[in-house]
Amino acid sequence: MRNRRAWILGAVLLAMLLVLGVSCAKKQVTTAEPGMEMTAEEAAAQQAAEDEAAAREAERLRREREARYRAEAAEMSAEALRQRFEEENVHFDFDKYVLTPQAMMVLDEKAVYLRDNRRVRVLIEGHADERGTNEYNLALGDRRANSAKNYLIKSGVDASRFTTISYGEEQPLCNQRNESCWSKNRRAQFRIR
Amino acid sequence: MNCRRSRKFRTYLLYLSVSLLVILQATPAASRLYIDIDSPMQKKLKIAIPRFRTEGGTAADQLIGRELAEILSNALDFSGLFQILNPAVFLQDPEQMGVELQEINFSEWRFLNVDLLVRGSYKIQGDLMVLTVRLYDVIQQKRLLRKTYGDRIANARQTILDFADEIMLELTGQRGIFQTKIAFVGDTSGQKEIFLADFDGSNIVQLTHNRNISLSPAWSADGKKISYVGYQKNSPDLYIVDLITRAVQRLRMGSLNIAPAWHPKEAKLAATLSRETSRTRTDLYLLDVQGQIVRQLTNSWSIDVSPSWSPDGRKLAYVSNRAGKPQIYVLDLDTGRSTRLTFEGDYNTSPAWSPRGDRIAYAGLHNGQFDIYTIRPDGRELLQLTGGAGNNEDPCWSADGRLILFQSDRQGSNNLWLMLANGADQRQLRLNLRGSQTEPSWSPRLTWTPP
Repeated sequence: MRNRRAWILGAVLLAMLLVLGVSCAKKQVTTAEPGMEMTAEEAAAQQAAEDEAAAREAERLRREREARYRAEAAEMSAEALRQRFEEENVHFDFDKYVLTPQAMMVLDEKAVYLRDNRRVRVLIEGHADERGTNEYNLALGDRRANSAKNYLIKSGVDASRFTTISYGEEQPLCNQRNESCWSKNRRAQFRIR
Repeated sequence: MNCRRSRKFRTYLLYLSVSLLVILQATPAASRLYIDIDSPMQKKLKIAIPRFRTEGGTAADQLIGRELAEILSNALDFSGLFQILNPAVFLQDPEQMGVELQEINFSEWRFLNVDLLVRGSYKIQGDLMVLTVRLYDVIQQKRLLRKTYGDRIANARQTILDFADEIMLELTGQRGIFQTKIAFVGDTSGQKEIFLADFDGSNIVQLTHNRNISLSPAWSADGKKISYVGYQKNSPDLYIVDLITRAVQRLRMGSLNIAPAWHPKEAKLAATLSRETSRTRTDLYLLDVQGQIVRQLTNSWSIDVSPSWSPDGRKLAYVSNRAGKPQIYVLDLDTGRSTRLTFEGDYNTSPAWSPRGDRIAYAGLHNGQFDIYTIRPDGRELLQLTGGAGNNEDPCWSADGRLILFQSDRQGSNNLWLMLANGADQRQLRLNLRGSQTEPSWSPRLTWTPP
């Protein structure tokens, strides 16, 4: 991630150098701390360029995963695909409901499946590990289910196809008291209705 | 008259308890962890309760007398205020002991260092019983209470518990908690259901048979209703059970309907809703019993959950993660402003405002373990009540504010435990149930007889 950003920054700077001309290139390079000699407008433009590049890169990776998924899916039966959709959970960090890059990758696959199977309606369950109160964990599960749902809506799946439910800590997949077990339990789970 | 006598007696008891404390300090205090400076001396009064005497009854009738004394002993022992004298050290057969003031041999009881004496006598006629119970101050050799009851033998426990409350009223100026019940979640059947029991864990009744998930029971202020969270319709919704008519009502205002807490004076409840109209919001609302929203109480991007009312109904303690981690906040309903209450630790939850209003109990995570703490509503005088014994969570107060009931996994599975408000006298609630018990809720004093 950091590497990519540095790369993009480099590319943007290089482009600016070309525009400014070789004569003042030396000065620019020696003071290349971002924003040091840039006006607010230039900084904003650079930020926008960075964001756009990052978004393009994310989109490129998403398409790549999508292509890979489609290639795999071509070999699989409808039943196997359905099973894969239901069995792959989206995981979360402790006391968090933001999607990790890993979680987004899982959701990208699900978005493809849902675009390919337009009649499928989905129940998204939100779950938490056992630590903390049932009540807080019910709210956390609700947020997790909604995080997953909102991501899928943004990926082009119609909102009306989703229902969410939170089970809090009430339906663990794993019952030991350790992090490996807790991390399995902190999840959004998908059921085709 | 009654009041003055009682005050004089209390002054006397204070003097007595100081001397008693000196004696008690010779033996190590059992499980006291921290001393509550609000009530520094949780002194125990030594009380003798010989078995009640039958008037002209048969040998079978005499057995009842032992049972009656036991019910009273167990109740008073439960309060944590008394030390019950072991009947084995009595100097006389209770059948031979007098019951009225002039018949009592006070010097014998003084010899046993007893502060208080209860004498009961009863006459049985068919399935009816006439019972007279007296409370004596042994040191001053005077009678503090004398009450006569006529009732069915089947109601004897209720009668004795009423007298136990009279004793508390006489000695502390406030009735006890002997006519209260608790609600909790039990998984005996393999699924979580709501159960009710008497204050001491006896008379267990399974309230729900949903065969699903039932959570978070909460007593209404009049003790006639219980609200809980159920999944009967495949979503977490609020349910209200009328304990007298057995009518059940479902309230659903959003995708998430949880954490009910009844207003202390009105037929309204605070709860957490996640509304379809704002699907990333998890706010607190005030609802009426028809499920209409009276008022939205919080409005933030965070999770706001687990409300608990101040006794005057003007403030609400609750949990919010608006600063990143779950912490306890206090909402002033007059101004609509919330202020943060807890700053120690990364994870503080399940606040419970004491019925006296002076403290808020909660569970906090420290070094990977949950423990119970109390704090003043202004954020001062933080006290840790449990420690070094498993996870301790979900505290709730007895109606008189003297006891805290909570769940603890110190013996493996989650069960219900009790302690005094300062953390002393920690003990497991005796519940004849398999499985785990969680999320206790303690009723107010009940003025109705449960069906």
